Amino acid sequence: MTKRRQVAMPVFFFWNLLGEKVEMSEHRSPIMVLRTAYNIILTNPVVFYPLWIMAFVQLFILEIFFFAPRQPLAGFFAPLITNLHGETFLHYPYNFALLIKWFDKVQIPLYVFFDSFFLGAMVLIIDQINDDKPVDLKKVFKTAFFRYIHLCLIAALSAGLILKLTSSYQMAKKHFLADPGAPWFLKKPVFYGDGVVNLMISVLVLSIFAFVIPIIMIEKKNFFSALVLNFKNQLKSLWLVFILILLPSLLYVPIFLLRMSWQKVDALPVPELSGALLVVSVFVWLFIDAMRYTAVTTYYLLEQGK
Amino acid sequence: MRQLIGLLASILIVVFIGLSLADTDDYALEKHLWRINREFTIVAHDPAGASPEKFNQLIEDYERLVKRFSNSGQIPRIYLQMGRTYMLRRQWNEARDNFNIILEKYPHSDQFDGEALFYIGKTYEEENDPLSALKVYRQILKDYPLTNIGLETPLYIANYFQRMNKPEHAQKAVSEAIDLYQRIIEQSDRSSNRLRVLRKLATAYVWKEQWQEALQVLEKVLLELPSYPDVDPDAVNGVIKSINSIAVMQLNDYDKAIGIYRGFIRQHPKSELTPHIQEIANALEQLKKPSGST
Repeated sequence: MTKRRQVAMPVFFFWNLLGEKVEMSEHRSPIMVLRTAYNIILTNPVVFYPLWIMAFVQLFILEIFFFAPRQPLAGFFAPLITNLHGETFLHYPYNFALLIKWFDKVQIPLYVFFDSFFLGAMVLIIDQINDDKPVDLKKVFKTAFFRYIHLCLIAALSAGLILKLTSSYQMAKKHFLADPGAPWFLKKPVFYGDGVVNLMISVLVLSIFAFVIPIIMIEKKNFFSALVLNFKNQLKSLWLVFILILLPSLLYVPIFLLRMSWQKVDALPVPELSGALLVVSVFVWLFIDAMRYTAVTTYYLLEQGK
Repeated sequence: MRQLIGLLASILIVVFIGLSLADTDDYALEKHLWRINREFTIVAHDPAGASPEKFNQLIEDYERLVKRFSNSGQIPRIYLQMGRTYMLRRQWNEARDNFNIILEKYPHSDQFDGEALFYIGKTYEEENDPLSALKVYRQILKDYPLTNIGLETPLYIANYFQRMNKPEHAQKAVSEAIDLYQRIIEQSDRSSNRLRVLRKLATAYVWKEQWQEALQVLEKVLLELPSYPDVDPDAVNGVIKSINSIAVMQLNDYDKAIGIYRGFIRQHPKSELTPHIQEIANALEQLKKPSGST
């Protein structure tokens, strides 16, 4: 078998963070892992169970923000909106600009305090599927509940690091654009490239901490032990994990491009499109999260020989 | 799984329908009005190129809105738009009829009443009747001085005299505007109107080429800006540009502008605007050097 593969198939290598040359065996191929992940979520829709609840909460918040400038919710929200953003945002079509603004703002607290719980639950579901056990949702959510504080901590650490790196990039960008000696041909891509850089930063940070949630949920380790074990594993496979997270994340690029070009809601022929795009983005993220976390957990389990 | 999705989707649908039905506000009206106004903007861009059917369609659409939302507080806004549509057709009497409906039916809607009077004045201007136009503008100053249009009107009158080639009258109107703005500032607290009035006052001083006074007012505006969290970034840049152009171009005094910026930094060291203003002060220092050495 080994001999046949050496003859018939090209052998790929990559270099891990220890500088070792590693053969890319089948389970080390990102495409294979992603394909396996896709098959898992296709044949086990129960994987989506926590994600549907996440999507529900996102859509519910979107709904509340959509009605916030209107009665009866305006009684509470209108003074808040007027003080924070101005009276214009109470009216059509600028209520959609407010919707986008608030929906973006709420993502980080939602990720830290809510999504972390359900992503943890999802990782445990994949583990149970991998063990060929029937999925016991009650047990899954109970375990996630007891691991909640650790899940929150890793989510907060990831979100904090993403925010820090993003703001550092903005500072560096400002200096670069103001520097008369900087190469002029790079200035335009740097000026318009925020979205790509932010995407790469978030993918990189999620890759760095990719195994923390599986370790917290499957190995029942605490946050600090999970971090140490994560880095031990990551030394061997950071770039591969980076690709595992990057490839599904690219599905968001069309949404991102549309959001960029639809920034001015009053310039759209139908301003409602900007709200509809947010709804679509909730479902796209649902699929991206399903792929990312299934792939990373599957890969983690393969690495552990499970 | 299907049960879960069904349950979650039902909750979302019930909440959506419930909140839609509970909405007693003018959202539906705003939505329709925005769509018709967009057509209006296209027509207003080239009124001569628009067909009579297009005008009729606009008027019909506005009338339909008035009928459908007859109890809404936004009805004066629709009459304003109808009047403006007639103005595009140069049908001045029909335009004034619509503006007068606002004054008669909604005498307590100061904002709309002020705007209605302003457009009535414009129709008289178009008919070459400056006396009637000025009479209407003075009525705005008397009855609605603190509305948005009321604050615009003093300088508009000056501008109107200028356009009629009456510079002495224009200068007198600017002096009256300065008096009025100063009186309003003395009475007003830190509301967003105050910032607007201060900027108008600075414009009036610029008109009269009283550069020092204009700079003093702009300095006051700059120092007060951090108290307005929702201030438009364009407004901030407008103030900075005005300070620079008056100090550098008119007075040739870089130190004056630098002094204003240094004062701001001392007074608001932690403001979000401080880094930007620091950069501008540094840039002015750089610009000052060669002119000082020559």
